[in-house]
Amino acid sequence: MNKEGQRASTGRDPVDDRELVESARKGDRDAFRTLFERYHRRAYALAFGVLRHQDDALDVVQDAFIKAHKYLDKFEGNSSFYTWLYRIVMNLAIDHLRKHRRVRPVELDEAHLDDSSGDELLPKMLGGNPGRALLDKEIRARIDQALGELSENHRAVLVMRELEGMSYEEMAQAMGCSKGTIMSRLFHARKNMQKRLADLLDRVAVNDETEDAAASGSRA
Amino acid sequence: MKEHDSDLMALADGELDERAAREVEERIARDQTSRRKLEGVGEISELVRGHLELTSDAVPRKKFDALWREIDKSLDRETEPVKTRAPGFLRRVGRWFDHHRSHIITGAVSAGAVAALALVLRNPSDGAIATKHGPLDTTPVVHRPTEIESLDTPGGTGTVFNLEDEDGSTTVIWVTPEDSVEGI
Repeated sequence: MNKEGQRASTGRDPVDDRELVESARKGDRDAFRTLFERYHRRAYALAFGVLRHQDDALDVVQDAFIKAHKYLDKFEGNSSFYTWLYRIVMNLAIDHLRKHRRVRPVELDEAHLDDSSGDELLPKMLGGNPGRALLDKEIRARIDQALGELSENHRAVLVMRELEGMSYEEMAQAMGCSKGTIMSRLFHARKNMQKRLADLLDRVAVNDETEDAAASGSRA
Repeated sequence: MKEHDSDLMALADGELDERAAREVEERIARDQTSRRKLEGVGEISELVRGHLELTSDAVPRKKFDALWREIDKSLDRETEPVKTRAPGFLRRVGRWFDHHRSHIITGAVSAGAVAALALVLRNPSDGAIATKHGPLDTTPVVHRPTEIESLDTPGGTGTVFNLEDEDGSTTVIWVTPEDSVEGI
C-alpha cells in the first residue's frame, strides 16, 4: 500500500534509464526505443484507465513519447524517467478528457450521487486473494463496467492512485484542484467501486471458502 | 465522508505523518471493523491495478510496434534538416531587384525628371498641355447651373433644389419655420 513501495516494485534501475536518456538526448534513437519498450505498456494502462478507449489511449501514449523526446533536454533527472513520463501521459489524458468529453461531465459534487448506502467505506469482501478473483472473466467485466460508471474525475483519481501510487499532492497538481477535492474523489471512487462489486465479491468469497474447505478436507 | 474513514484511507495511501499514522493504527488495533475497512481499501486497489495491468497486457504486441513506427516517423520529421526548396515567384523577383538595383534607381530618377519637365512645359493660358508633338487639346466639363425653385409652406418657407450631376438628378427640399431661431 505504501506509495514508495509500490513505485519501487514497479520501477527499473534509474541509472540505466538515465544513461538511456542521455544517449537519446544525443540522438541515439535505439536508446529512446529501449525506453519506449520498457514503459509503453504501463503508460498505456494509465491512459486506458483514465480514457477507457483503446485508440484514444494509444494516441495519448504516442503523443506522450513524442513530447518526452522533444523535451528530453528539460528532463533534469530529479525523478525517474517513468515518473516524468507518467506526468506527461496523465496531463495528455486529462486534456483529452476535457477536449473530448463524451459522457458524464456532471458531478454534483460526486459525493452524494451514489451514496445511498451511507458515507462509509465498506469492509473487505474477498476472503481470498484478489489476484484469484481477477482470473474470473465475469469479475473482470464487472470491474471494467464499474470503472466505466464512475465519473471521469473519480476514475482519473482512482487510476492515478492505484496504478501509479501518486500522492494526493501530485494528483491535485495534475488535476488542478485542492488536496481535499482529491481525497473526496478518491474516497467516493473507492466506495462506489466497492458498492458496484459487492454482490460479486461476496459470491467469490463464498466460493473461495468452499474451495479452501474442500482442499483441507481432502488433505485430511 | 466520515472522519475516521478518511483517516483510514489516508493511512492506506501513506498520506499521514508518523504521529497521526500511529494514532490511527492504535484505533484499528482495537476495532475489527476499521481493520476490515482498511483491508477493503487495499482490496479495491489490487483489483483495479490488476485489472488495468491485465487489460494493458492484452493489447497485441503489433499494436505497440505500429505505435513505435509512428513515433519513429514523427521524430524523423522533427529532426530532419529543413530542405532547400526552389525559390517562389516573389523570391525570384526580389533577387532580380537586388541584382539590378542600380539600374532601377537610375530609371526611376530619369522618369521623374521627364515628368517634371512635362509640367514645366505645360501652357496654362489656353488650357492645353504643350508636348513635342504640339499642344494637347482639353475640353472643359460642361457644368449646368443648379435649378432652384421656391416653395411657400404654412408657418415658414421652403426651398427646392434640383441638383444635376453625372449620377442623375437629386431633389432637396429645405423647409425653414418662421419661428426658428438661429443657433437653437
